[in-house]
Amino acid sequence: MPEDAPPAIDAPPATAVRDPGAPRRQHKHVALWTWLALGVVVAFVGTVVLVKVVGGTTSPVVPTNLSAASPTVLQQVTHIPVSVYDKVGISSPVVPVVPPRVIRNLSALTFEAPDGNHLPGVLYWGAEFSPFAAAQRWPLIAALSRFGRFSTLYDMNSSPTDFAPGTPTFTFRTTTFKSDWVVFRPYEAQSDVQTPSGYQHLATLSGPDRALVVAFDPTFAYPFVNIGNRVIVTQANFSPEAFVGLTRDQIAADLSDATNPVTQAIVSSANYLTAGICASDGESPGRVCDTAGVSAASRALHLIS
Amino acid sequence: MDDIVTPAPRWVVVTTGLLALIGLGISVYLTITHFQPHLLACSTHGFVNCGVVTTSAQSRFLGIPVAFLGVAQYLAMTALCSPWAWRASNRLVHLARLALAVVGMCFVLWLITAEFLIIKNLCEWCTGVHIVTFAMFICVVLTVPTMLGWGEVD
Repeated sequence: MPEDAPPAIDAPPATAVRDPGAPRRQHKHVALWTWLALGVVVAFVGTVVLVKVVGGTTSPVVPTNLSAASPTVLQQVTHIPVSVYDKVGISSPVVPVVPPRVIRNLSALTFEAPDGNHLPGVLYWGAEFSPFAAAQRWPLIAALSRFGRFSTLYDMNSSPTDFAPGTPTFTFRTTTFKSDWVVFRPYEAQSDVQTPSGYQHLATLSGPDRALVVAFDPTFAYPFVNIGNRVIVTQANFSPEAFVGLTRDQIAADLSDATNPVTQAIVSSANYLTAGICASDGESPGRVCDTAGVSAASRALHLIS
Repeated sequence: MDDIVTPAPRWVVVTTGLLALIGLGISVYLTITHFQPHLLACSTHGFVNCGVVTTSAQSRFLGIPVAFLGVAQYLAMTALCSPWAWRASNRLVHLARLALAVVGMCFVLWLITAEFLIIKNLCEWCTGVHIVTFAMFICVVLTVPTMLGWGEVD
């Protein structure tokens, strides 16, 4: 090469940024394939949604691992004879019962009923695996049944590996409760199904309901019951050990026997809870709130003079 | 065809950057609530129930919580959608962005199918990530092939 020859110009690098001002070339098929890809995505999602909507209702699906309580058990739990309530009162000499806390000087807790009215609210926070929630559901179901009606309740047993293993009970999951006097709002936070990260999560408290729990129990322990901001249960009224060795059918069948120790624990707890509901809804209905058992509980809690 | 890269429009750079950060934020939140379920704030009744979805069998992929995969995906996307990455002259950067967007979109389609047809519950926060992923997919698929000169003819 001659010495005065200009230096060779390096070829442009294999990768470089195009000059935006350079003439653009036509993109023949890219746009088509791009929009096709987007169309496939939209069509796929649309198809899935359509299958879901056409395939059935979007209302909560009853979990396949739950079985409905037998009609006999349901009847026995929700229709304990008034004579048993009155005979037991708040007396449970064999199984210790802890009365609920009474709260004063708080504004009443109300929830909106399906018809738009605001009625005294009963909030429940529990978990299906918890043995203490398992015990608490018995008197809570009994008490609420004096003010309204549950739809089908589903059988449940507490964790087989926890305290008082396999305590027979029910679950409030998918249950509805109708009443002219109170609105019941249950949260079953966790199921009895173990996952690698703990018991399966079912429900989370909404903001306002969360405040109702944390005001009285920042630990969110199970169970928790708030009746109208008047009566609070922050631990089970009685120990689930009372149920050891018993089946659900046995417990339910014994609810007509006022001398049975387990019945006495359930019924005296139910009378306390009933007294709380009565104090929240203006002592209505009279056929419940004026009974001897509820009156005894009301006096013990100083809800009435 | 020259191996050159056309610059991305400014709106794509800004939009994908924001989407990546939003996706990362939601994924981090879902990861936190994976360990602390009581912090998960969403509907708990009816069809929309985050708790059921985030603890379902489908919330894990090959044993890894999907929330973790989301964080990994969006950490990578945040890097790949940065202004510097969009200006990169190396084609591999843009190919990686495109591949990640496509893989992410395919995974979202699986998750949507699982929510509607298997779990039968919807998670609001998960849906937020799905929407972000779809928007990201649109931006990337509409832009990157053109940047790389795919399908160009004289």
